[in-house]
Amino acid sequence: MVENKKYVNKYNFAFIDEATKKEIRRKLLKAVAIPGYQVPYSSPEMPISRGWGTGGLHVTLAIIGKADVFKIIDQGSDASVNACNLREFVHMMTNCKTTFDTREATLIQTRHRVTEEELNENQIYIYQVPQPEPLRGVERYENKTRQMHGEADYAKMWVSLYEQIVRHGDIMLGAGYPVKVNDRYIMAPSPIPKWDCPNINQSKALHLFGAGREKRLYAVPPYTKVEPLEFEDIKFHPEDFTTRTCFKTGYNKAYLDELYFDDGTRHFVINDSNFLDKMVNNEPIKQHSNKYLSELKNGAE
Amino acid sequence: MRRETIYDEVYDAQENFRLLLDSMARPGKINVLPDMDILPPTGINKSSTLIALSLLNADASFISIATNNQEITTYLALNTGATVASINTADYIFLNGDQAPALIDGAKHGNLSYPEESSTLIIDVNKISISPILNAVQLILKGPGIETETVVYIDGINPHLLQAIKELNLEFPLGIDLMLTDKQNNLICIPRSNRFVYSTFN
Repeated sequence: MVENKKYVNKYNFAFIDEATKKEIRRKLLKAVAIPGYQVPYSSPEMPISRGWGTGGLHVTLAIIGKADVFKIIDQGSDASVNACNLREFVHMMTNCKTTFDTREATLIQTRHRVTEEELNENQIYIYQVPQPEPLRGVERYENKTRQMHGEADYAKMWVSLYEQIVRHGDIMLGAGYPVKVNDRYIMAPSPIPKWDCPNINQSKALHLFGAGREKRLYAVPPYTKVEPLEFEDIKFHPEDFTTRTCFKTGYNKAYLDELYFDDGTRHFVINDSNFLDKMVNNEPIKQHSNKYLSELKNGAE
Repeated sequence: MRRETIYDEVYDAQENFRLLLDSMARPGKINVLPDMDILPPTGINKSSTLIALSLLNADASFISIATNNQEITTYLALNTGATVASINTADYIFLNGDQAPALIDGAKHGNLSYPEESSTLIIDVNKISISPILNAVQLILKGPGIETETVVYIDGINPHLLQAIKELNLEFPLGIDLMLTDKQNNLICIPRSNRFVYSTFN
């Protein structure tokens, strides 16, 4: 008797049907060929709501294979709700190995952080993007922003940054600070803190962005110039942790979270959970290197 | 004409696509596609066929302008279900590296609002190598995906075709993307963001 292999599993490998995967794959190749440009795609139905990480999930499921090792973080943590649920889902649908270890992973999906540990050439970094359009704050119509991108007309964006400096003395964008990719497109790097923007510049890994609700895919290839927007006289600067240190490690050259204990005291702790674990256990870690980080003094030393 | 039942549309397609994605993200990096037991008609490389099998379906269109294009078109249409289009509308264009650039005149290269609505060329050449080949074309690639520069040698590509592609890709983000395969299943990709220079090596 011929063995019925087709219906052994309840779902197709990696959940999405093959026709849709092919469509996402074709769009991903175009996204990589035009760094920073937002490619519209189908954004198929997922068993979670749009806006809860479906874009990242589409990208992950369209590219994942049996040999991949999958890591997913939510705000730097492997253990937050969004990360745990999506990890379990991807594992159920693909039976791939999952890990917390940044170095071991081949695919890393993220919500709003870049790992502190340096990425390598065999890794693909996938972002869950809520709002892919960096110009949406200054122009509400999609056909207009598309034209602005097409003509590289970013005057409104620059004026908005200038106005923020005039009104508030600084650019009031914490997460999702706009960056310019390959000297051409202005791109929203998803709501990663400013701290992480320099780590995408000339990265060794391929970065893919999926916005499920807004139905857009975009990409930053490895070794690509990614510059946060800045003025000649007022420069980009990441978050300042010079006066704070992680209460567990004494380190302050990483992105820190603020914690309040039951007694009301305030503490800071390294946000990237895998990085923190490795530091606490004294494991060797190679952190990203960028010019802002190298200017900082290490609180632990 | 053979129906390629050996090709697994789930796992083989995923494996081939990952190599394509890696090559597209790192222009000039040579990836080797698996040597599968498929039987494409003469005039198309096995690895070009694998690209077609992994990317094409009923939602995409293609055209073959290779010498043996009738047989290739029937074969690809049968095995992928993709629609056959004219050169002006095709998403994927299959051709040989030694063909004249006039044949790709009119290939779509997108518009400023939607630059991705452009064609991808899949070009068959004789040999792709990182070590010099006599009388071959030397390509020096620079751009996103490359740390400093990458040098590859390609035997069996018409320099006039490369010149035509360079001119088409001058006005970034408009342009077309290339995938080159050889007879040993090697693959390189050259996205439109790449600024390559070519010369004849001898």
